[in-house]
Amino acid sequence: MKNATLLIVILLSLFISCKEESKELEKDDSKGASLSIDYANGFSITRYPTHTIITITEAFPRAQKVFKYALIPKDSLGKNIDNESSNELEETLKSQGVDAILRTPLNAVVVTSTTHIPSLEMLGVAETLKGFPNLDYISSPLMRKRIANKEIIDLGQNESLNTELTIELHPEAMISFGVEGENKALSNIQRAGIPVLYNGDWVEKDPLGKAEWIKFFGALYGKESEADSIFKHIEKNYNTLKGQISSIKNKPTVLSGGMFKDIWYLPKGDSWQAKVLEDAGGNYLWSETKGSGSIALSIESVLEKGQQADFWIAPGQYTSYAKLASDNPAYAQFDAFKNKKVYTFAKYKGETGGLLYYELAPNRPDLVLRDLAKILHPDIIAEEFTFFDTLDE
Amino acid sequence: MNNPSSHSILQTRDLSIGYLASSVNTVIASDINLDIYKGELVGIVGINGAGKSTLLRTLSGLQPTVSGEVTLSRKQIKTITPSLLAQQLSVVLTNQPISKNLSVAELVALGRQPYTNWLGTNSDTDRAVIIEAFKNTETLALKDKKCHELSDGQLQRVLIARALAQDTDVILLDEPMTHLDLHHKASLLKLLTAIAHKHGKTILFSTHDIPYALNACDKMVVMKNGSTHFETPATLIESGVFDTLFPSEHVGFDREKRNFFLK
Amino acid sequence: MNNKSYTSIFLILTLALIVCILANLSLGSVGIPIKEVIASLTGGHVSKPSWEYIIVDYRLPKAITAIIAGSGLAVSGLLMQTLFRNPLAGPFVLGISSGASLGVALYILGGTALGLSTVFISGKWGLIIAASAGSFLVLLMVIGVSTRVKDTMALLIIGLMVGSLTSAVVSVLAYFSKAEELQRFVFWSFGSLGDLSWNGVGILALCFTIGISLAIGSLKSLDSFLLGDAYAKTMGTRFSRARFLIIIATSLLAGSITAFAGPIAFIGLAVPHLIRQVINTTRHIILLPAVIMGGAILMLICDTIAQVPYSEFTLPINAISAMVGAPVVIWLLVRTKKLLF
Repeated sequence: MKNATLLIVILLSLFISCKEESKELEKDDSKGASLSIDYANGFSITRYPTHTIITITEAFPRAQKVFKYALIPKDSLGKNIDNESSNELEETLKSQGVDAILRTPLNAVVVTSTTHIPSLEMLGVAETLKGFPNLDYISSPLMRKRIANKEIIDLGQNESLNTELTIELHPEAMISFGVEGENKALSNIQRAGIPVLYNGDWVEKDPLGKAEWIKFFGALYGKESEADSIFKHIEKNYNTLKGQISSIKNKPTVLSGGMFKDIWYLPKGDSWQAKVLEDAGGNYLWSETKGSGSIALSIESVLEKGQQADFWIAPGQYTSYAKLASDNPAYAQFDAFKNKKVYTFAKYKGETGGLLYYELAPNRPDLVLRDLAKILHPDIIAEEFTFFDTLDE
Repeated sequence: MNNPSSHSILQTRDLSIGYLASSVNTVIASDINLDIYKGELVGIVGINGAGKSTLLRTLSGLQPTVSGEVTLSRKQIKTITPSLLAQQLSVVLTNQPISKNLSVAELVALGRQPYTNWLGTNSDTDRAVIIEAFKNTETLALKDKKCHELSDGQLQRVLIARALAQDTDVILLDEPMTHLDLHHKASLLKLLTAIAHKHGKTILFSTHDIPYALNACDKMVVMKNGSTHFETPATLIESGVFDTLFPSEHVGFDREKRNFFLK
Repeated sequence: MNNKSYTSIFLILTLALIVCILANLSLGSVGIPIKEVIASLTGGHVSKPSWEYIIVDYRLPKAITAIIAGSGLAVSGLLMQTLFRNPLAGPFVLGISSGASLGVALYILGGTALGLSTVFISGKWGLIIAASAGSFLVLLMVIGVSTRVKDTMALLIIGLMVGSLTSAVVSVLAYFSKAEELQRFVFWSFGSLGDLSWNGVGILALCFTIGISLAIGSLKSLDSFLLGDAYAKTMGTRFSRARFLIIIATSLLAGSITAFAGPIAFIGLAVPHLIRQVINTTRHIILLPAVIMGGAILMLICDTIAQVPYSEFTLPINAISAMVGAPVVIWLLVRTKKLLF
């Protein structure tokens, strides 16, 4: 028994000593100018005379480690500057503990989430995307054309990224979404000399905060001012409409989600879906729940609370009333079903089945807001739906 | 006066055998005092459940004693290290989960384990002992067969060859004659007698074939009602222990013919 | 069998191993000509730096991992089959991979399901430590039980029961998890030989060396176990110690491989049988090296297939090992009509 206790103590001390240490970069605010980031919490950008630093504070939920990426501009011909002063700069940055050093603007990049693609398109740098895991998910028509021309390589599935092809492609950077712990393939790619940047847009809870990550991409391409103005445009659309709606007294009740194997999943109260619903003038029946993921509920509790909801928005992957009813007769019990007030985003797909909503919605919260307002208060919106539509029969 | 125990090779003193349990020990037989000499052929008999197997397992160290001691060459067996004990005492057991894929040569060669190096490789001496064991049991012709291809009689001989290869002073056999027909029983008994008398090994074996044992053995151990009687066959017959060995009015013992009969 | 046929068999195995290593290094998603492969390995001139990186820093560590995993699991299987005198025993019969799964499940899925913060073991080695801790705890349980239990068969059943228990806990954790976490866990359970850092390969190699050394030290007692516990004891085998060493060797080999490469089924169970069909002996001093080479060869073949050469997708190694190996075992048994065990 004594030996067992000793072993357990050794194990525990191993756990504790493996705590990640976050590295602090010297903050020299007098020399660096921080770009204004108003809604996003997960990143910040600071410009220095010789370089820019992107700091990712929340690569994944509850992340302890902070990531710092240094961006050094290329010369006017778009080539890496390779002289004494830039080498010295690299050395200094390395000693300060940055996680990656990149030369901007980037010419060849790999991203790993479809939500990264609209930013590239909006900044006009779509042709720099050279590789993506699982091409079928991409719905953007522009990218599908490039895929047809074999300009983007399929790098396998995200969890089992094809290391060989990625290394062979050798992009200047790989934009990944962070996960806790180590991903073996990503480490190997970094060891091969390809910087891996963690994009935490998916962690943001605020709808505008998510869209603000276009500034992250802007910095990578030296297009900070374009990114800024694009975002300002989205922000203005969103806030103007939101203000318009806030004066409407009538708030229809809203239900969301659907069942997967006996469990009903719907967004929690702090999630961005819930926020946009509230901003669109809806009374989301689960807005009191804390947290930003999904809740798992039984059909009974959903029926009890939401059976009389005015609208049912985003019932998972369903696109027709017939399928809903045949999958589970309980669905037909909801008033929203009986009154044909169910709206889904699952009908707009790209050529190969990728959902437009998953790709574009996080980047264009203004369009999502407009769609939801059109559902809840149809008289104030004239434009067509972008993402949502009524269900088929 | 000569102390006979100074010459005996296997000896027990006030031995109790049975099963140890945390709450209460089960004693199958007690007060066992044996003095067995080099080169003796000793048969252990008794009705089913009398404790023959338990006695053999206790003598070989496979089972702990309930109380009392077992001494081998003047040392208590519980103080002898397994590898040294294996050089002095070997066993022949039935119904063991022996790998079917073993060849006869491999099985007999395993008997040399107490003497080989850490890898278990056989030296020339080892090989010589193995060949001798084959010859003494007349199993050399079976050398390359697989064990599962052997008849019961052949398998018994091969197991005895293995024990011979182990080159020990004492060999314990648990019911070696079960499963064998008359002819094989007789030839096995002849083999055991030869091993005991010609090669000077001490043989203890348990059996149900009391008449055979009475004829062949130098001494016998009769286990009856929790106690043991250890004498020469003649003395045992005289003492009348066989008359009432079986608890049945249907079986009687003929002292003249040294045999049992149905009443 | 005589020594001459052993020599020719080992010669064939060695040749097969070399061919498999070369094939494994040459085939992959990216087509690299053999000349370049050899040049990368020998420090010659390589046309593209990415090719050199792929060969030396991706395929080479993967090949070494495959060799260690294949050999280690095959040896573990052999040890377990002999110790338990059971042809269906494999390296995971003591519950080792179930323990590792539990550790990994708590690490990946525990966050949502139990509200655990696993942040304090995050970082490069988090997953590996979680898996090792899981198998280690199961091992402690099994050893604790083995000192109280005389009958080796009882140990087998206890290992299976522990396996069921941990699987049940993992199911509950999985039931309450988010889709992405579940996907990460499922992908871990598919097994993956690639992307180990050289440090990782080093540690794996160390565990392998120690495990194999313990197995070599157990060769004599393994042979004695072929006759059953009673004969083993009376031939001088220090029974408890021998059993303990065999269990430690198996746990070290199977546990380290599962921690670094995920649970890889089938190889440990099948390779000893495959070797026994080819080499007609029960002596472990011959079987051990044959199983080491056989395991490496089979794993390399499976990995080469799993890479689906010249395409961008890869198949899970776990599925391939069963799909390739099971028909071979069935064919062999049908051919000889009986199980030589």
